[in-house]
Amino acid sequence: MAIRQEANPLLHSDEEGGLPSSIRVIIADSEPIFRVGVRKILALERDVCVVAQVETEASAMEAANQFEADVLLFECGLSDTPYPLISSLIATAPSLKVVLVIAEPTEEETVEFLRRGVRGIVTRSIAPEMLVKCLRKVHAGETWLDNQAVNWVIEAYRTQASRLSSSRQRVKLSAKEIQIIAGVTQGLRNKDIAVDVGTTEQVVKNYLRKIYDKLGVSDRLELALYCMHHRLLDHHPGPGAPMVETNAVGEAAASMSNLWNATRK
Amino acid sequence: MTTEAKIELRGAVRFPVHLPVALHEDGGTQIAETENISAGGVLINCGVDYAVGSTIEFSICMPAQSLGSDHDVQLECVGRVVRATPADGKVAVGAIIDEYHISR
Repeated sequence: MAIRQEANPLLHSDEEGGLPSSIRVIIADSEPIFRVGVRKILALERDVCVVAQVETEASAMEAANQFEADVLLFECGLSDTPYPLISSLIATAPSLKVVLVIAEPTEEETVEFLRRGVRGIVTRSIAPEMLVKCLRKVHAGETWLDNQAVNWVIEAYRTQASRLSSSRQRVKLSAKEIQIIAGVTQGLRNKDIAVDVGTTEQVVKNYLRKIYDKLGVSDRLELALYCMHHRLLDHHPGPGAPMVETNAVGEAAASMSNLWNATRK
Repeated sequence: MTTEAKIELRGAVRFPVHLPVALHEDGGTQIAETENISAGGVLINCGVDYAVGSTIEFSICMPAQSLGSDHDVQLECVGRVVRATPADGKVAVGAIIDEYHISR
């Protein structure tokens, strides 16, 4: 079975002829018994309807494209690489809200899935009425987590906040690391940075991984934003230049100031 | 026990930096200002309303002195509008950054 489309996804099949449903759900799960069970639970609710059932990650992606569903109830175990899959699903269908079904969610999984845009995490042992409530809350724009997951997320944000509030002096970067960061923030490719600092592209990649870890950033854009916010590269002359402080930024600052003023007119 | 939680969950750290941004449209370029930026998205205060879901192209000017550069750096982005809220005679446009390129 690739995708099992429900007969009348827009209306409930109640005896009164049905009411327009406001929450359209796709169930993606490897176990037929779970899909059937969830469908039966949701069939009792007048404001929820199942528009499709799927049992593979590929068909989940297909269903997300094909149906204008509101919520995807997705079994985490369907994919060997669930993190990129979740990112792809959300990129493909931005309005689709993903609720993950995980056997035993860990702290790392919980925080990472939420960072990637998952709106809710439940276990298979969730009570039927709580599952229905979860779908309604997620559909309404809220996030659904159990108590432990809430604590994990709060802790992750505390860590992030303390990292942000720590001064740049606390992060020790070598001269070469600063040089490489400057290259990145100026839009140079790794290959060009390698030439400037006199090393290989692979070494630059290694340095970048270490820099990302030290600063807690995830990519080049976040690195550039971090540098701007923390003024990490103030007075740095850029890649390829000797590692001495310079006052040669005054002219550039004036240029930026002119542009800035022009935008405010 | 299960509970519901209303927490703002974002994929990346938001930096409250106000920078000039050029919004590119078919008819020309609209100059605006960022309210905050993260690696995943941006909030822009501009004079034009955008439909939620629409694709926008914009360039953010990153100042030379903050980047250890001798020239300003352009952050070229393609994004999707996720919200547009009128505020103080302008429109606060929130967009996800789908693609970006740091150009010299």
